[in-house]
Amino acid sequence: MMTWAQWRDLHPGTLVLSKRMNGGLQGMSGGYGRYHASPDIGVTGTLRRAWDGVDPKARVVSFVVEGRAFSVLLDDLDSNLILESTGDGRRVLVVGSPDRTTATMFLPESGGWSYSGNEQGRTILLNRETGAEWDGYTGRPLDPSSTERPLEAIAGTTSYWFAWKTFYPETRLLRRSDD
Amino acid sequence: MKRLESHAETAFPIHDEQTAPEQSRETLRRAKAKYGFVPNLLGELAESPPAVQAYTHLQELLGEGRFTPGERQVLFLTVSAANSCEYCVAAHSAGAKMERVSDQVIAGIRNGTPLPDARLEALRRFTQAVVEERGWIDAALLDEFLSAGFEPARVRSPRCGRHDDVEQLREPHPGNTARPPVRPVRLGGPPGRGATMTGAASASGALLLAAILGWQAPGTLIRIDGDPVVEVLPKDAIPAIDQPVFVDADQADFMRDDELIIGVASGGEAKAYSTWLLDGHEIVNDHIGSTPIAVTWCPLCFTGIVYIRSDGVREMTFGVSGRLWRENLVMYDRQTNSWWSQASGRSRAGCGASSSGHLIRT
Repeated sequence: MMTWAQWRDLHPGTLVLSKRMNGGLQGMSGGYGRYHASPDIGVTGTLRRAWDGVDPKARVVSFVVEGRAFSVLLDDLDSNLILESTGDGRRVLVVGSPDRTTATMFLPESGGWSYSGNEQGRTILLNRETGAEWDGYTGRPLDPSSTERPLEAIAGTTSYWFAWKTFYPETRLLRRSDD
Repeated sequence: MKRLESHAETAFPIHDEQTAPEQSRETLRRAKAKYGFVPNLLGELAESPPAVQAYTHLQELLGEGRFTPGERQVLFLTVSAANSCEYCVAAHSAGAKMERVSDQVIAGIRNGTPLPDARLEALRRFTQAVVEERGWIDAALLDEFLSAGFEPARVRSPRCGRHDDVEQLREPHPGNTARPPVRPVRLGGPPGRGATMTGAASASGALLLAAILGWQAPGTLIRIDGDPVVEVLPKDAIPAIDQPVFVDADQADFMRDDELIIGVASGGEAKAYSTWLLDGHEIVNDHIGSTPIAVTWCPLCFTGIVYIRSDGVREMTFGVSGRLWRENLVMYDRQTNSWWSQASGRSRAGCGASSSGHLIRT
């Protein structure tokens, strides 16, 4: 999930679902604005859980590696990069989008990664071992002639924290780290 | 059929309305007024006022069920026979005759032979299986039961009869909080051992079964993993989009730059779906290339997830059930009518309950 502007930058030839339906326009504004702005958790009042001291409606991006669930607060991605151990000997690289509405996750083979900048809706990474720049959205080197393998990507889900935590109560919340 | 020990040999006295504990006497007085005598079962249960009150109250509630009085007696008698309870068999044989159940049917239930009436035979076979298999019902038997014209309130997904991980409870009726919860029933899965019950337990089993199958109170709750599935809107009140129409990005003057979208890109094709638009639809049944996908959006959880809508054999299409589980969108597939959790991509009730959706990275 990301903004339309960012998606369009990433995919200039994209199609978009038409809002012209039944002779009119639908979805010209969000139907849940008041809910999103409120502290309410859902509408049925049936969730009674602890949220680990985190705002239950904080926006997170979450993923599962080797059966372990992880979440990252999107607001924590102001440095656009998180590199953390997953607990199984591997490390996960979380790359925030420039507008911090989403993030991409990779399992890099080495740990030497830094934030380098933004370019056309993409976060650019620096591989400190080789000095090469990488696309933080696709996980590929910017240099098209590079023979380096793409980073292994992990599927992620953007959601409210309460929603992910409810379905994955053992989730480990990753916080920003410097690498 | 096993013979029960005589009541004189049990540890509990058989009370009447004079000897029973004070809190049980009114119950026994009402029973005597209704039957002309105090049934021994109630006299024994009267030693425990909560037990006798719960029993009689539940029995009263069963009168509100969907079964006809005769069908209820067939059900009670079947449970009694399955539990080898002579006392109960005798009592419910008499009850069945009072409700004009034919002698052939009564004899068939008592002897364990097929009944001449197909509908009652389906009820007998299903009831017996519930007791003997402790709720682990074969799907074919459930189909047979439903095909006979029964519409049990507690059985969903009638085409397959699975109800994995679903715990069913009855919500207290407004203004009558004394209505008790009903024990979970498991349908599907391997058979278990038959149960042996005392006379009182057998009768309670009959009541339990009837309660499960025959009575649907308003506000019924279904729980999955302990959390209720809450109906907030009628099915399809939020209409999924089945024939999506797309425009090029440069023609999308209806889009705002800061509008959040769910994006799908594969094989050189990219599509965007506005979450504002999806607020009113929640599901788009679409394709990316030749791959069938379901673009799903739960505004309450802020989850936008794309699934391959296939069970490996056929394309599936999804609709909005109108229910929430853990405040999350519950989808249903139109092929099996199973419920699917949008957040987990798992089907939690219905034919697809053991399979999973396949998440595509968005």
